Amino acid sequence: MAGKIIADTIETGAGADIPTSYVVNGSAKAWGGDMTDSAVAGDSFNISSITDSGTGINQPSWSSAFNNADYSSTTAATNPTNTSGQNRAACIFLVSTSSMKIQTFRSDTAAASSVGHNFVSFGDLA
Amino acid sequence: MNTPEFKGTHLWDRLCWAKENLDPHQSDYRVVYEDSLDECAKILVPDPNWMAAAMQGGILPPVWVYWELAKDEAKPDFKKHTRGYLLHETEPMGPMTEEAAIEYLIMKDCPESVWKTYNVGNRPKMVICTKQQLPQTREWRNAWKISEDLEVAA
Repeated sequence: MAGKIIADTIETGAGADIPTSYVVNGSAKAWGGDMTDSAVAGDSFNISSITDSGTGINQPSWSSAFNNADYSSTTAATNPTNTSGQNRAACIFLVSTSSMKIQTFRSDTAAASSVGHNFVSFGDLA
Repeated sequence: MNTPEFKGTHLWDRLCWAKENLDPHQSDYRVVYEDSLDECAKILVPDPNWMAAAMQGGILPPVWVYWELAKDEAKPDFKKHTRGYLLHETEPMGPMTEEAAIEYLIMKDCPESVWKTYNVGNRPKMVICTKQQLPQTREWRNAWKISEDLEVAA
C-alpha cells in the first residue's frame, strides 16, 4: 500500500514535539558502501563519481554539495570476504563542500592496495 | 517511469526519488586524467546511481551551477555557500545519453585546468576509455601515467 505522511512535527512517547526537519537534517547526506580501491562502490547515495587517485586513495564527489567544509564524515577500511581483514585502517583528508579524499592502509605493510572502505557523511547541505 | 515534475525541489530530495525508483547503471566508461606532474594518473569512475539519474533526466541541475558554487568556494573569505538555491531552483537537465552524461561529469568532477585544456600542449592530459582498456592489475599503481604515444585530439 502506498501512502504519504505530511507532518511538521513528530511527538515522542514522552510527549515532546520534534520538528520533522530535525529528523531529516540528522540523516546521512552521503554514503558509500564496499568501495574498492579501483573506485567502484557496492552501493552509494549522493555521489556523482569516485576518483581512484592512487594506491588506496579514493575521492567521492557529491551530487548535492555540502553547505561548508565542516561536515562530519567517518570511514572504515573493509574487506568483507577476507577472514584476515582486521588489520585495516582508513582516514579522510582534503575535504571540500564538493568532495573529500579517503586513504586506506594495511597495518602490516606500507602498501594500501586491495583494501576496500565504507564511509558516511553528515552535515548541512548547500 | 516518468520523472515527477520537480520545481524548486531540493536536489537531495530529487536524488532520494532517483535512488528509490531507478535501477543503477554501471558505465564501462572511465576518465583518466593528470592534474599534476608529480602525481600519478587519476581515474574517474561514474557512480551507477548518478548515471541512472543523468540518463533519466529531470533530476540533475545544469553543470554550470556547480561551477558557480566552485567559484564561491575558491574565494579566500569563503565560509559557507550562500547560493545553494542554484542547485535546487535551476531547471533540471533533460535526459542525457551515456556519453553526454560522461561529458557532464568531466566538467563537474575533473579539475577545470584539465578539461578546459585537455587538447592543448604536447602530451594528453585526459583520456576517456573503457574499463577494459585500463591495466587489469593495480601493480605499480602510483606510477601510472597516460601514454605519450596517444595523439592529442584536435
